[in-house]
Amino acid sequence: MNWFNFFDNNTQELKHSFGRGINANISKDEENLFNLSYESFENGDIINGYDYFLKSLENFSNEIPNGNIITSKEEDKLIFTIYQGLAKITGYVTKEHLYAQSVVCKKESSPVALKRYILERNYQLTYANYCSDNSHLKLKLYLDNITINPHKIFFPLRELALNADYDKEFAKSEFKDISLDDIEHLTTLDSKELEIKYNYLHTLVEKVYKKIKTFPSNDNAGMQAFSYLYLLFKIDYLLVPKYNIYQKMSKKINVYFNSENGSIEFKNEELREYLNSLTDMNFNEFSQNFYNSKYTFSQTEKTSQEDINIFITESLKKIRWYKNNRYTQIIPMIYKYIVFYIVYNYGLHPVTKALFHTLIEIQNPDFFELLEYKTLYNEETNVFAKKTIISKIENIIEPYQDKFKLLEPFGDELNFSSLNEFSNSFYQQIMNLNFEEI
Amino acid sequence: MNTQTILENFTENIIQIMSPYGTGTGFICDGLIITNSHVVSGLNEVVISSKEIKRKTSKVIYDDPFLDLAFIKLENYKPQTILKLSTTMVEDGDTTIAVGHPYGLNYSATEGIVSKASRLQNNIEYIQTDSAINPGNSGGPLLNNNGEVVGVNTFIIQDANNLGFALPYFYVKEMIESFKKLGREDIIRCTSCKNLINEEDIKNDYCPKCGTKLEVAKLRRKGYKPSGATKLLENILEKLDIDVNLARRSQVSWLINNKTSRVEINYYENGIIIGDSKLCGIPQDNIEKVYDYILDENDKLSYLQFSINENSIFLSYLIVDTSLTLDEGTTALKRLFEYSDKYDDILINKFGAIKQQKEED
Repeated sequence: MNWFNFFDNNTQELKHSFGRGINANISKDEENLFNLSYESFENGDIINGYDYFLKSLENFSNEIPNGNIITSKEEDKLIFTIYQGLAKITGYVTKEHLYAQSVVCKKESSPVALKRYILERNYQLTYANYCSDNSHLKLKLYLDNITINPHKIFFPLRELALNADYDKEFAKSEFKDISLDDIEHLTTLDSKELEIKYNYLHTLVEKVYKKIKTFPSNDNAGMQAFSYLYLLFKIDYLLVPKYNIYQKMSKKINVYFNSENGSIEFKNEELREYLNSLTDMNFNEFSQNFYNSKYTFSQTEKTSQEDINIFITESLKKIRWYKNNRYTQIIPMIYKYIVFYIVYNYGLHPVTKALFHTLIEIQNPDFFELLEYKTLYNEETNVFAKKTIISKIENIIEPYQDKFKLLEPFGDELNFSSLNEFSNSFYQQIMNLNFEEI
Repeated sequence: MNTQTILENFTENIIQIMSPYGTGTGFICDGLIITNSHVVSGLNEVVISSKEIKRKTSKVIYDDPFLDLAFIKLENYKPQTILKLSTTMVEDGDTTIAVGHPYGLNYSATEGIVSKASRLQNNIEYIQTDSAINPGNSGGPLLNNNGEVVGVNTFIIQDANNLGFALPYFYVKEMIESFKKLGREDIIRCTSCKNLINEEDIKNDYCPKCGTKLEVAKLRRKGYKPSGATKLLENILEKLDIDVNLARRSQVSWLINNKTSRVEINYYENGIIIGDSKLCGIPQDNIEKVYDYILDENDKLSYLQFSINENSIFLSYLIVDTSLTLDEGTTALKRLFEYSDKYDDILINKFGAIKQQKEED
């Protein structure tokens, strides 16, 4: 941080969850702890190997541990708990093996369709498998320590955690009457926040529908597609719905991109119908679809900088096409669509993730203002909080400059003349980020 | 004779040939198993099976890469109906029947015609046929209406429709005679001087007559040598008294028949090794009880797990290659073989699960 930006430095921590990631900072010592874990395993010190490894998965807010990983030692055992959304994973490690499990629900109250579902899931899973004890359905993992190393723990534990979380979400949305177990760690959102989210959803959808009406009456399927998908990605990142809304929304998005059946017009109609069903929800129903939790693993695989650059380049080409063909009304939305698409689909480096969040804050000041964050852009006056933005970017990049020598803060290179120009220059700078380790 | 009669009469002469590199077809003729050289892949031993011959290893006693022809030793078996080489050349438009095991579909016959009786390729005449020939058909016989062998199905033009080529019977006849005249096994035909060379006389893989490097000699000398996790997996199977040569379906897959169960082991490119035993099908009644039972068993089992796929119950062992060890792998696979039978019986007898119909091996 330089002195010039000192007084404008907005260091406000996020008080809310955004998107599907872990929503916290990973441990500063992550790499070191991972290496210590390797060394311990190599020296035959199994318990400490696991201990270091689990500590490397801890994440922090304001430098305070989030409690997503809890460990304790008992004689020759290491006991641990890992939190991942709906899933609470409990387990232990001995010198010989690791055992971990995540309880889904009570056996006696689970419908036959759920049992069938989890048995079919067993055919797809690699390390973990569903089973039942006297009382519960659960996902379990057993690892032998003969050839263990941190990589061999990471993938199985991640499979266990992500699938337990996803399948519990699925079970809750698919089987309404089911009562999930081991969810005491979830916290509810306060009613004010829920109200803000509920109202924002309506305002947002209404605004975009109004915009769609300004599109040319023919040949606008592409523009409509951008609009509906932009809405869904934005709802996902800003409102972070869970359960039924999340399940259905991700299914709609998945079908849109992966189904070969149906024209764009047909797919657009499907998305529109779904968005209508969202706005038709009453507040009570809407509120049932939210909770806060701790997360340990990211859902998406890490995406290379190259892939991100390819997506941005292709998207900017589309913007140029719309510009050349004088469909300028869609352009501001595509600039926003790009970042929401990326945070929804790609596993991002913490730097890129934080930078994209900053861009989202700038592009969507109305929502952040409602949540009582200091806004970074005034839509009415077209004024940016320039120094704060520059400082924010610097604060995001600076801690990583020791590791990535060619990583440079780029605030001074941004174009603050309009939101479109700003977004364009921001994407250009993202493409210039250099994560090469020298 | 119509196709059906031909197939009924001569199926016992049709052989399936398996090597770690793939599968192909062969046929019994003149006391030998005739096939293509590319089917035996330069090995001196391959696995054979037929309707009457149980899977067993057999020696490749003649390998002729020039004509893409090979002879495999036939032991202790004589078919009741003898398949003969034709004595007359086919003509354009004659009916042909290709028999083989395309894509592992055993004993498939496809009818067609001779598109061109003599098509010259690299100085070798071939019969061009539109009988559908697919991977796995290689080395199989091309028959005429009388059920006589007019050629050996040898190659196709890829991505074209029904352009198949068979090595005519007269080349086969000539080479069988030349081979038998030598009265020896392990003969390699030199691709350059075309002489039949006794393998014993080959030094450093060079043809003793013309000095050409003989690729087949090198391959036969080296043999098939698995490495890494594949080797370890085969060591485990050997430790469990399984004949690895017979179990091996390819370099990365193995099939083990154990009593009533059949265990398929596959080693995938992502490093995951999966041993799957497809047990019975889900019954019409007691379905939830079956689910409860196998979910409960999953809690007790170590190494193994039950799952359901496409209405069948599977018992599986999954492991990442880098985690596989001799002791652990042996214990796990031993359990998989033993428990497959045990659980199949329980699920069928106690819950009325449906016994799987298994295709002939």
